[in-house]
Amino acid sequence: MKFADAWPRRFRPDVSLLSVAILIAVAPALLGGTRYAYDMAVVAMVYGMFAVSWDLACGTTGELSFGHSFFVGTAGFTAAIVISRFDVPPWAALLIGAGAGALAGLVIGLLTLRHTGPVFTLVTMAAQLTLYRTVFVWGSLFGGEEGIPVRAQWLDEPRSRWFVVAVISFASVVGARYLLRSSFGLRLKASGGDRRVGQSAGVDVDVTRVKGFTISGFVAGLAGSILVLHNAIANYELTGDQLSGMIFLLSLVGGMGTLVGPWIAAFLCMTLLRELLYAAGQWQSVISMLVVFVLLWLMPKGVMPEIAKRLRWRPRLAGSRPS
Amino acid sequence: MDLALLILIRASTYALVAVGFALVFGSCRVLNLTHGFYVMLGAYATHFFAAGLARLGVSVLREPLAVLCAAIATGLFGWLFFKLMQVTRRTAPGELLALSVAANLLGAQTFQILFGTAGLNVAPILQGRMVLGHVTLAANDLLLPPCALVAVGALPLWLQRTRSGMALRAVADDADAAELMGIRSPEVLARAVGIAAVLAGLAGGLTAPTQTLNPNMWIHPLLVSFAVVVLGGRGRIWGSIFTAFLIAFAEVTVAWVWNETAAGYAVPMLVLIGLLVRPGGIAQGMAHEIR
Repeated sequence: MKFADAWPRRFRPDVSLLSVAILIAVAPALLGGTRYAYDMAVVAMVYGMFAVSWDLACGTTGELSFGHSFFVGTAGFTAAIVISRFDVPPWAALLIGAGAGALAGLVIGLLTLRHTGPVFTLVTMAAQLTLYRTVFVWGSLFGGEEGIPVRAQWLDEPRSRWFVVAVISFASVVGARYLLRSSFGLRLKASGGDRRVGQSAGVDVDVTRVKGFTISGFVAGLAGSILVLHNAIANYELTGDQLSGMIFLLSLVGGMGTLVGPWIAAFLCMTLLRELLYAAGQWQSVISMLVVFVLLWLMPKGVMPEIAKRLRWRPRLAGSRPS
Repeated sequence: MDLALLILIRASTYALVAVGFALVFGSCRVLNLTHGFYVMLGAYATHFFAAGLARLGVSVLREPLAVLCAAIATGLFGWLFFKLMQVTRRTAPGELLALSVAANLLGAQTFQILFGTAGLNVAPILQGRMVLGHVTLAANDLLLPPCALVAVGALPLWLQRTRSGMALRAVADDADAAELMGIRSPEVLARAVGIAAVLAGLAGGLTAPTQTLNPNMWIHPLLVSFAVVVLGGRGRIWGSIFTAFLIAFAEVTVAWVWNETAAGYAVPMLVLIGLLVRPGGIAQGMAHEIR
């Protein structure tokens, strides 16, 4: 009898979710327990949310989006603007930012309804580039080079901030998995395949796709607003091809469509890899990108599916119902 | 008249960049997104070769020679990269797309550290500026239309008249049948990628003097060539050239009416709106496919 079978089905330990929880719990202590460690863990968990949200929209539909920073940027700048111009309290700004992200997701979902494959990638790339240019063209509103400084009292104690972000980030992973296992998740998967097959099964492909992108935009927007509040600044790094590329690549490295894989890949890249490469100084970003390149090259399907294959372990991946 | 010249110069740059991308996409149905990086590589390599030739004491024709060397080096790099992907069997569309995005970012970050973000300047082939009506042109830019005309014009000739061009068309039509006839399709595709990279490198080298080189310069050419291929109908040479002119026209007009920074909106907007209205591309139905 396997270990897992000893448990009642509803309470079986879920290895992949458990590993996320353990990573969240031990990371600050392993990184040294200082303020710096907590800050690093917060950023890493935010990147985990970015990857999860990318995977929600793209892992299910099978499209490769190169414009995820459009959601992040829209939400982050909205949050920064409502705080700096209208003195909105930070928690409300967080929600407004997430709402803006959802709106951005809705727009992208509507714009790309008819597009698949390379055309989809092109349109998302164009969308994030539009936002990137806007930051500089409307410098008076978006702060241009310097960005918008955000002065808000938001959980100034590093430990409480880490705890809140940990709860939000973990909840987004659990929520995303729950969503993809629900009947909505199955419909979302169907909308990514042949659209005629989906339609013949009674799925309203267009509506499902747009909904999927809206939810993905909400998660990315929430994460982006957290990042703005955490860094106390919103600048051009919230959008543009560097962030889009990072989200895209980390999700693929983790394993497209597995949800937990992208989260772990992003988290480890922002914590473990950064710490390991600390001595590399300015070459840090180059070496970590090289690591990403080599991993993608060796395991085109992603690290998590590869490990699962080697261990003959069938993790309960998103979208597959436990049997 | 002066605006028409500006549009012509810009369009020939874009045609030079994009026609290779269209060639590769048309022949192997694979998006090699490293194309933007090749333009950047061509520009930086021109800087590198110009400095090297100066150190060797070459003074006659130093700049043209540097551009030529840079284009060839870029072509070799592109060929090698694609060959590597082929040997390791990473040429499925999704895999190559992901790997080429990673290669782009890797290259951009390496250049950022090696040369900094401040920007480098490259000596032009033709010195001086000329004033024409309302606009001032760098004389070096006048080299672009003839170069583009020769390079882009030679491409259909190569495809139609030579054995290797016909082999590429055969592979594009039906790779299996081409293999049966004794054509080694991987070799042919790698050659096409190499040629595309040479053209991109040439464009990078020729435009290098009129812009400051910075490690983010890959994204614009990539977006332009991507847009040209998709808007111009997948893999069609004449559609690509038409779209290159359309994009140049849009950019110059926006820059004229508004300002140069806002001209950056032109391509993304053209992509978003153009594909919304005509998902199959603007130049849908134009004849003369590559294949």
